Amino acid sequence: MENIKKKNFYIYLGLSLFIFLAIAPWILTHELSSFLLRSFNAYLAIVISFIAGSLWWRDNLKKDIHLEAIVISMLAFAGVLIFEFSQGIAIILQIILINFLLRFELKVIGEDENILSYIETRKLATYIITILCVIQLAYLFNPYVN
Amino acid sequence: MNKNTITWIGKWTFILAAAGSAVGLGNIWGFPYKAGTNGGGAFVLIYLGCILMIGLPIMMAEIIIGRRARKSPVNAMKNGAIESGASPKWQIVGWGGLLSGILILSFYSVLAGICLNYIGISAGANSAMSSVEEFSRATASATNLLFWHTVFISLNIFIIAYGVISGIERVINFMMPVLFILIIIMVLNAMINGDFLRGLSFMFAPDFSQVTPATFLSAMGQAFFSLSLGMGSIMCYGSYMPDDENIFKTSLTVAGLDTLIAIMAGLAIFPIIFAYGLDAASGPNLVFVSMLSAFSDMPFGNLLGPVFFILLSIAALSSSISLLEPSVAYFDEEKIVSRPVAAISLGFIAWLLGIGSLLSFNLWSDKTFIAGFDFLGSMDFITNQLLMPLGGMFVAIFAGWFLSTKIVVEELSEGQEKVFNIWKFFIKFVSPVLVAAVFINQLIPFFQNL
Repeated sequence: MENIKKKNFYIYLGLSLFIFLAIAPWILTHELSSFLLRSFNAYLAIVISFIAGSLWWRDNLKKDIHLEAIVISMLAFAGVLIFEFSQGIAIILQIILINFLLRFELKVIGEDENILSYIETRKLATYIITILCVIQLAYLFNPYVN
Repeated sequence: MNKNTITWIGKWTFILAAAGSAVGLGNIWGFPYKAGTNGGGAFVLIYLGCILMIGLPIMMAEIIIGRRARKSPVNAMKNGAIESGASPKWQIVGWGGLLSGILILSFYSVLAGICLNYIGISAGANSAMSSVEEFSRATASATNLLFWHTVFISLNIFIIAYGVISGIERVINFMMPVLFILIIIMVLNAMINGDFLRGLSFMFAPDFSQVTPATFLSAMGQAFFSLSLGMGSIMCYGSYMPDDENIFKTSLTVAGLDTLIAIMAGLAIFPIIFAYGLDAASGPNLVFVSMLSAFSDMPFGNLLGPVFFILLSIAALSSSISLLEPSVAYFDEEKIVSRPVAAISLGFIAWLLGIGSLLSFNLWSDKTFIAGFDFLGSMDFITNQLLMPLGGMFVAIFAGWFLSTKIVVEELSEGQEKVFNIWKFFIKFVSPVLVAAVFINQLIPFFQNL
């Protein structure tokens, strides 16, 4: 239980940085904003890879699940590269990945009652990050910010 | 007369129901404009302070009185007074709440009916007809207004007649999440299509040079009216609150949600208004004229317009059911008539009074009733400027000076001595004085016009 509480705390802590990076471009100067957008994307790639990577270490993983986790990590980092060519596509890719990762993680860890609060927090975090990604997309397409 | 045994089933129902009651048309077209024209972030800060000093203590008082008695506001006030050794005449405050609820519902339903009508209007809006002409056309016909007013009142009657759990709780649990989703969609739309930076700066950039004593009064008024206090709604919903729910935390959450939605409404509306160079005036003109004009020029406006007006209609409906419920609950618990009959009869009275308000848009537009106002304005004057502030003030005076400490301590959760002491100070000395200031400030123009 203590462990779950700690895990949930780290999720919220990590989430606060996402919120800052998503909201700051609207408030700060445009020059700084492009750096913040890039940082948001890179940070998201790191988080996705970390979570997917942490699932590799589970002993009971089947080979195909192992492969899925690796593909998710690779795609997340591909998103960082794609960002340099098309920011919109990179963010859309990350939205798909973060939601796919949630389904994948739930499939791996199972909806065990003992970790119900962790699962709830994970779901909430994914939905919030999805909204934050859409906010990033909105920033890219808004005609009044440039 | 037995206590009712009905309690909300869901853990979040009270919060959603009370937030639904608090979030209404006034928040959506009132708060953002007041914030923008009264110093932006400076106003928001003052407003939050006022929520803590006025809104929160009175809301807690209403919940304490309601939950203790588990009865409608009239009997809850009577019960609280008798249990505290005070005069049962305090039930007059409850009667005032019931009266306010019916009167507000009568004209609120007309405005909400226009929102319903605008779902269709915005879906077919185009540049051929200006939004001012659209608004004139929608309100010029008394029959048209009567139709939508009838639809809206019928929805209320239908929900209330079904009961607290099968009617109100079920509808609230569906409507409030939908409201959140729709408002998020509208904010995202404003982020993509609107001048979002200007909207942010309009609402949040603090400008302390614009802060005057009038700003404080405006913030105090907004904090009080925005939370549906002084009309028995929160007291009635509080009477259905389970015993194990923490009143302080719940009230804080409701006030927070109410503020959050009002801010999000501003973020959904003002960037669009600025992007299309429209008038940011407060009130019905903002949504029915300015926003419609923006939707008719916006990409996918015929889709986003209806979404916006569905959002307004849901906000209006979640508020209006809390206006009718206290009086229906009273009739039901006194066994005067059954719940469905009470809902139909009281809804009919509100419907009948609403005819006067809808005629204010057309046939009676030049007729004045009270203090030089038309019929709708007069109803608004009686309720918002007299009954509600008086109701809130007397609830605060009763809770601060007459309600027994034993009741309050028992109703607040264990280990809340600090909360009790702070609440007691504010409800006794601060809240009544500040509500009185709002009340007097609102009446000054009335006396000046005499």
